[in-house]
Amino acid sequence: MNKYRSIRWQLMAWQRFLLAAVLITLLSLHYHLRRKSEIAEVDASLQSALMSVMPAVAPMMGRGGPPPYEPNSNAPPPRYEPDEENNPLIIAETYLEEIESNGYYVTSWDTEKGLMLSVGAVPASASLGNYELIVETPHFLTLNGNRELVVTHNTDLIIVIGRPLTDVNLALKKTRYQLLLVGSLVFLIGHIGGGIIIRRTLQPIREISQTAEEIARGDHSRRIELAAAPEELASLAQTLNNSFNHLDSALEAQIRFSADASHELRTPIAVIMAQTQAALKRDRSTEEYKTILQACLRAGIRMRTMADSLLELTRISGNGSVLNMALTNLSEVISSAVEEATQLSENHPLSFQTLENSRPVQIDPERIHQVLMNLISNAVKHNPDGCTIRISQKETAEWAILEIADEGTGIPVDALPHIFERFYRVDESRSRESGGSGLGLSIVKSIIETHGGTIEAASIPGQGTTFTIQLPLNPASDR
Amino acid sequence: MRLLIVEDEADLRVALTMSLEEDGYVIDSAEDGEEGLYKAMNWDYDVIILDIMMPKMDGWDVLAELRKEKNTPVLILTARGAIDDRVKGLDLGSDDFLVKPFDMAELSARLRALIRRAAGKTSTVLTYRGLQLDTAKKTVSVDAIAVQLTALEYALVQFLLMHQDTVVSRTDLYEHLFNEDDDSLSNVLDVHVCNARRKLGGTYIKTRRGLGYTIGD
Repeated sequence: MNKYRSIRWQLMAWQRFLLAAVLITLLSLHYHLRRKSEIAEVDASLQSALMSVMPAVAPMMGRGGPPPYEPNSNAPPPRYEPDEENNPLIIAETYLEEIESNGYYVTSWDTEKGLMLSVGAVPASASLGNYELIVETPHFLTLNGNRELVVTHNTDLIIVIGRPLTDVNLALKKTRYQLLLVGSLVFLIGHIGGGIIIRRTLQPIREISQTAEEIARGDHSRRIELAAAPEELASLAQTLNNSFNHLDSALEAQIRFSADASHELRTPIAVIMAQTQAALKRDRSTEEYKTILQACLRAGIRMRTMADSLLELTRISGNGSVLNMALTNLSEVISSAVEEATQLSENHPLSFQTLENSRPVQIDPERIHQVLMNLISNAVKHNPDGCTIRISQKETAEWAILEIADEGTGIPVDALPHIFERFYRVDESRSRESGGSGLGLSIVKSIIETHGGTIEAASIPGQGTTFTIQLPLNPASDR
Repeated sequence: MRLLIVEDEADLRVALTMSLEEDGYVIDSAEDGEEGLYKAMNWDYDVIILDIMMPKMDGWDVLAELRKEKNTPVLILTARGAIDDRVKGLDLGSDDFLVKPFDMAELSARLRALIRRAAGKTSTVLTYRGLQLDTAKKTVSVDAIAVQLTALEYALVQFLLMHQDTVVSRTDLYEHLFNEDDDSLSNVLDVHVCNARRKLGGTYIKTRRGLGYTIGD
């Protein structure tokens, strides 16, 4: 069944059907023209025979002719079969005499020329004083393998002159064979040629599917190579290769993500295992058990934080549908975040400056709030000795811009490019102890990018860090 | 036997220290790479347990720096278990590699093996004449009769048996039997030697005046 649904099969079938239809039409047209011309030739010969016979036949009619022929009688007109010697066409005189002497109806054969002549049915009443014989309604017909020319003049006279079509049929039969041969040959060539072209056209498609299959089987580095392919297929291949590249990097990111995640989980698991195994070595005091259980609890909390963050990150990443978008005034979001953040620490004075008449932005206000809180609490966490934190709002024609700046210790130059990476920690031990999952900034970046915006960090060690967020004022989804 | 644990994860470091101290090891610990390297360079540890992902200086750098000067056996204990990491660790000169989370029993066995190998022994049982010490079971017997030793006495006998036929200086003994926080007076060592000698009987532990102690001929 599958076979009949393949493009190749359908193309082949269609091509063969078209070829056959064209061939049959052309060849039969040719055959019919040929036949027509053959018949026309016969007809012409019959006509000229008629003309040559006519002068001989006509006078006879005038002389009283054969006895009247009753056209209305159902019986066919009696036929006279002259013998060889009396062939009227050989000797017109004799012919006429025969007609005369036998009365009414003559049919004669000239076997050599293959001509047949019938003359008859001249009513007795007819007066044909002048021998004007008008061939009024010449009528050709094919009867029993003969071609006959029938001429009637009123009902006075019927002349049938005919000729067997044996040789014509023979010639046409030969033509038929020739045409059949030619047709078959052309069809065969078309069949083979079409097959080759279709195969060659479809070859790249087969290669594409083969490559895709290999990629599916796990050879992710494979790509479609179609240097000599037709333009359409080459661009298809290019598109597919791009998709493969995209999928490949997505897959790699996914693998790296899983590796990172499992790697991060190993440490707290190691803590739990080491603590419990050490504890179980012998009986211990209540205090010792407490200490051990607290360590296990810390490890558990760390795993929970990590699991939550991972889930959050996976949920948000590039998935706009989790956002509850609403036209929001950014200054309101800033105010509420600042209000909440003021309670975080007394050592970190917050100042903020919002735009008076800012244009509303299409955002998920809770998520942007989350972003602000994350950045503010980062600034607080990493500058335990206190520092000023400033939040400001700006606007360009296309972007709403948020800046969160602190005057803290800053981020080391070599760490700066990595801070948005998952599980990257500028200071491993400190952030772990403070319960960080190493995913906060990844989540922030993910949220901003899902909004169609960008986030960048600039930092000068010793002077502070500035995060700049750009949110589109007219996101593509709005237009 | 004195070990150095270089591990930034406090809860893990504490658990390792507790467990290994109860196995009779003397433990020093460091919470980042710099401190770890400093200690590793300044004391002759029997084995160093080294984490890789650490602040200030990662385990790879510590190992590379250490190997420029010392052959102390190093066991890498890390969450990074990929083949590449193992290969890198072994190529940098580590002697063993264990991936977190690990089993304490396996870690113990690997440490024993490392210590054994460093001393050029192949068996877990150390013998000298009638004296037998099983490092796996942590038992000591003299002429097939079990002898009960304290952890420190056991460590002393083990260390002397490891270095059979050579004189072990008091400094060496201090370095390997006490950790940095122990401020025991020097005569305390003599007390432990005396007690061990009494429990073992005979003349297994010999004193070489001015040089140190030895088990052997």
